[in-house]
Amino acid sequence: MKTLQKKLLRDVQGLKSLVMTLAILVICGVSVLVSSWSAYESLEKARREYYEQYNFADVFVDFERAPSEVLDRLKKIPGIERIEGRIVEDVLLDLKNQMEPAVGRFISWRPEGELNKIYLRKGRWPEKGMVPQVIVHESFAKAHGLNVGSRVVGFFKGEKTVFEISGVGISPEYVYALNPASMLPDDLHFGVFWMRHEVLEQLAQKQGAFNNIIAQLGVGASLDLIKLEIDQVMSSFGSLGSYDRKKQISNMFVQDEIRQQKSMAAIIPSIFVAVGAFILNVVVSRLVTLHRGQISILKALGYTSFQLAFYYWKLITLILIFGILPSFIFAEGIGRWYATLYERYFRFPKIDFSITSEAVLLGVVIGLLPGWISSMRSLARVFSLSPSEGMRPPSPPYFHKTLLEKFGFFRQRAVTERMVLRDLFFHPIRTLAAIMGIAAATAIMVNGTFWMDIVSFMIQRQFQEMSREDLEVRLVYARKMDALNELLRIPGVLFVEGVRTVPVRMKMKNLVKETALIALEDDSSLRRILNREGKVLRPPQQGVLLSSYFQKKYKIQVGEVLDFQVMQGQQNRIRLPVMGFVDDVVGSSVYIDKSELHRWLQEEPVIDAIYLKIDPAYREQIYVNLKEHPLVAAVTVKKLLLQSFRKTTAEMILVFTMILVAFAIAISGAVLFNVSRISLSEKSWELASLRIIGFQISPVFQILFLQIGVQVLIALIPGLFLGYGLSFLSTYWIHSETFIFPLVVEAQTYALATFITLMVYLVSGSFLFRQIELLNLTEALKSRE
Amino acid sequence: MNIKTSVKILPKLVYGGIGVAIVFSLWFIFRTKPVHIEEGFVTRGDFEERFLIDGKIRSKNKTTLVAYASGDMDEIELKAGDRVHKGTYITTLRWDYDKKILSPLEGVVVKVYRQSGGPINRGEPLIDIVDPNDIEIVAEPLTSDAIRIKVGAMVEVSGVGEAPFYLAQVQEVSRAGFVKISALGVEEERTEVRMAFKNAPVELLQRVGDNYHVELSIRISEEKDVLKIPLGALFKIQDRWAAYTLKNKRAHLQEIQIGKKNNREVVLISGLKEGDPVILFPGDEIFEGVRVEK
Repeated sequence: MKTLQKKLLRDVQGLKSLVMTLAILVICGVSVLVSSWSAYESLEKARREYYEQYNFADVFVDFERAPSEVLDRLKKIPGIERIEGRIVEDVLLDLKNQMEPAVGRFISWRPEGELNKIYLRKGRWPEKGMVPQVIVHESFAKAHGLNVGSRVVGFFKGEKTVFEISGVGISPEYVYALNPASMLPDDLHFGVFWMRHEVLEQLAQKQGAFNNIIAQLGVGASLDLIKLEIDQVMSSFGSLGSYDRKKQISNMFVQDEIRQQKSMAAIIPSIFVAVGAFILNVVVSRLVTLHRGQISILKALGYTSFQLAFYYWKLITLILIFGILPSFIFAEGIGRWYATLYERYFRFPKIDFSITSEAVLLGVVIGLLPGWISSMRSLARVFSLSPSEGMRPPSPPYFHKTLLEKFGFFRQRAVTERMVLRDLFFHPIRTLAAIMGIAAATAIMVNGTFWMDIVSFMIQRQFQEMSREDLEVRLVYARKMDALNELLRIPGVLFVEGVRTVPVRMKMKNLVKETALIALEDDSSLRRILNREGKVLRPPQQGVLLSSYFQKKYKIQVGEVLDFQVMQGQQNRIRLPVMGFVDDVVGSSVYIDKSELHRWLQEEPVIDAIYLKIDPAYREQIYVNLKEHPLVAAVTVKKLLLQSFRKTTAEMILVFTMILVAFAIAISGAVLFNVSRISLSEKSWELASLRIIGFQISPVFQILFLQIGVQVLIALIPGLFLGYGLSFLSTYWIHSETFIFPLVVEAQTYALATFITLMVYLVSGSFLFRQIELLNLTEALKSRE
Repeated sequence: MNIKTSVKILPKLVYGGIGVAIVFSLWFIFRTKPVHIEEGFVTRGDFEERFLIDGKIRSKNKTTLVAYASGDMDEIELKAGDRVHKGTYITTLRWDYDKKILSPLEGVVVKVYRQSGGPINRGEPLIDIVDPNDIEIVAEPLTSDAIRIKVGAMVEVSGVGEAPFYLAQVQEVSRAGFVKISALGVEEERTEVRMAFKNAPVELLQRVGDNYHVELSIRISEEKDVLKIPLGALFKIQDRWAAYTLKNKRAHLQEIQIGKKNNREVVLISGLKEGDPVILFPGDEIFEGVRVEK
């Protein structure tokens, strides 16, 4: 046995470069797998613990206003363990370091409150005093550099109020502090504040009343039943219906991220592992062929076939372990990066990123198993070699005319061309493996860069073609059309358009979905409704247009009739057919004709949000003007929203892209390197002969380089198609509750993938050239047997 | 052997293919994509400056019947909305005499101050009657807007009846302003503008009534046969107006002089010609010389 161990070490040393390339593939695959799986588990654990320890509520209800006594009625519902009434008030903020207003969400806080408890990062709890004290959410505090003792100005019902920050905190309710109006992360313009209940009561003019309820259920309580009972009580107070954690915005995003990490752990590693297995298959099969003499001799010396097969199995395992072990170090690195990303977007008291034992186990199994399976065929060959085989020179491979030759294609061809084509056709599995490997690499490159295409498509659609306003002003209540004139009179306002949005519950068969009806003005030009082709649509008189989200996610068809119930005021109902789909990228809305909506709601023409186009020179005065309007609820500056969207997503996508492209280069490099190495070793005899009969290095090199070139060129076609397919899978798997990504892959992305693949090919050519130069002619010509 | 003389097709094919692929991909990577735009045009035609405001229909002739002596009143059985003719019985007032109170005009009861019978004082109002056929339209614009409205200006009245709009004419702009809280909650000075329907069909006039809501578009000024440019194409460079026009499928910045504006278009004084294309709502990706597509 000792002899075999020595041989093992020597063989591994001899196969250095092959071991290296395989290790790179295994490292790429396993490290992504281990880090993503660990991130998934760490995040899930952080979420679970945070929710448990800080009593994250199970049910939430928002409504206009209800007296405190209602709470007593709700407390009697069996199954509710804890229930708390709160005041949640969105107000405009005036910040020293920022011209445009921000929206502050003020939430009432009681020292004895037990649900959605605040984790205090620093400072202390708000105390009673002359200046109202607040706890500010960490995201907003970081974005604006606010600290304990800083002061902030807010406008409650148009009245200027100064607050003092007593502490900085986070809450399980706002792990991801998202502006509900824009659904995009925007820490500069949306912040959460907690204020003593009795103070907020005064400021919001809701003495003895509240407008938000959170409840925690007992073990085994039926969520749906309790929601129904709550709704029965609350419907008369202008409630939009109770919702559970699944619809809670922050939780939705956290859960999406956790799910995405899980699918991430599946998609990318599987490609690497598959390519790695292919290469291993080729390498081991070549190895067994090269070693046939040794195997026979060892057999003749008395080693059993089983011992020898076990020896090769050990060799394979060793090679794989060379890849798996460093993977854990890389996984730790990638995981750290995830952790810093999470710290930036998700506010947990602490995320302990650690490589979990489950992830390690998974990594080892996924790292080894495909390699073992793929090399099985070669191991079987060890059994069939007889001891006497070593005495004979290897029988030359069976020669037959390939299909092309039969058709006379070769008659005119030069020797070099014949060599190339014959070699490709004589080893169909290897050729296929190489083509598949390069195709996979190209596909990963497409997959890595196509996110940029999606983001720019979304920006183009959402921010430039569909909405062309500079500002969006939300009103506290729906107003008559006069409000438009009022804003138009502000100096510097060039263009105004109104919109009416109404929250509705949409029903179709068993689908129930809370969404909003959007009614734009008839000749609306700041906001446009577009279909996929970019054509402007107008909501028809007797029907509605839906966001394509519904078509993709719920397979709703044109012509199907939907049931709408308004979640405001009279709670009117209406049935309308779907007349078409709108290609708004992030929306899940319903578009309706404005006069139709007014008729149905039995109201005069009113609007509750206004879009403005302004002269940038007057920006500051306009902001000041809007901040002081008592009925302006929120102001969104499109440009700034776009900026923060670009910043957050582009940053993340860029790193992601770079990692994937680096991986893809590793794959294609590994594949090309291996293919050329094996061809060279197989052909060393012929190539050396060619040189001896007068060929220079370059034509010898050309034969091999050409042979690889054929495979690369062929691989590009399935590679680009595969890239599209992989991108489709990615968008399909990484879709979230809130929206479905459109699948957009620009020509540029394909071009980049093609270019990089070809560059890798050219660079690998230079390595090949060096190898041929080093080819030892006499050694190569010696028949080893 | 004809190793060197034979024509080699495969290398040409492969290297040619790779070369072409590299060139193509480089071209795709480095080409600048034309920016997608919406196009509008400079047109010639009549320009109207209009002022949009909500208004209501009001009866010009409102009569309040009062108790003309202290005494006992019988119950009033009429309700708001009931039609009355001249001489319709309303109630009876009893003091030294029993005196029937009859409607002095034909019209509609809009308000009953007190329904139940019983003692009543002299001068207390009993009932309001309006003549729904004698109506006017009233709006309450800001005084700063009202000053631009001329008596005799044509008004398009919509939100009532079948036709897209009906015509009316400004009769009077009140010079007695008042203070009112605005739609957005700000104190504002407003005044009353009264208008009358012009050539409105009889069946419309017979159906509308007191306090009916209407949407008004009052013509402030009109210019015949002028150049106009869509408002969405305009933006400012410091204090001068400009627009992007198209030249050889590229954006070209053009300073312009403009006249009056309404909510959709602007009178163009100079800078562009009739039929010139302009880019609507140019975003920050549009600049001088950038390639665009429709």
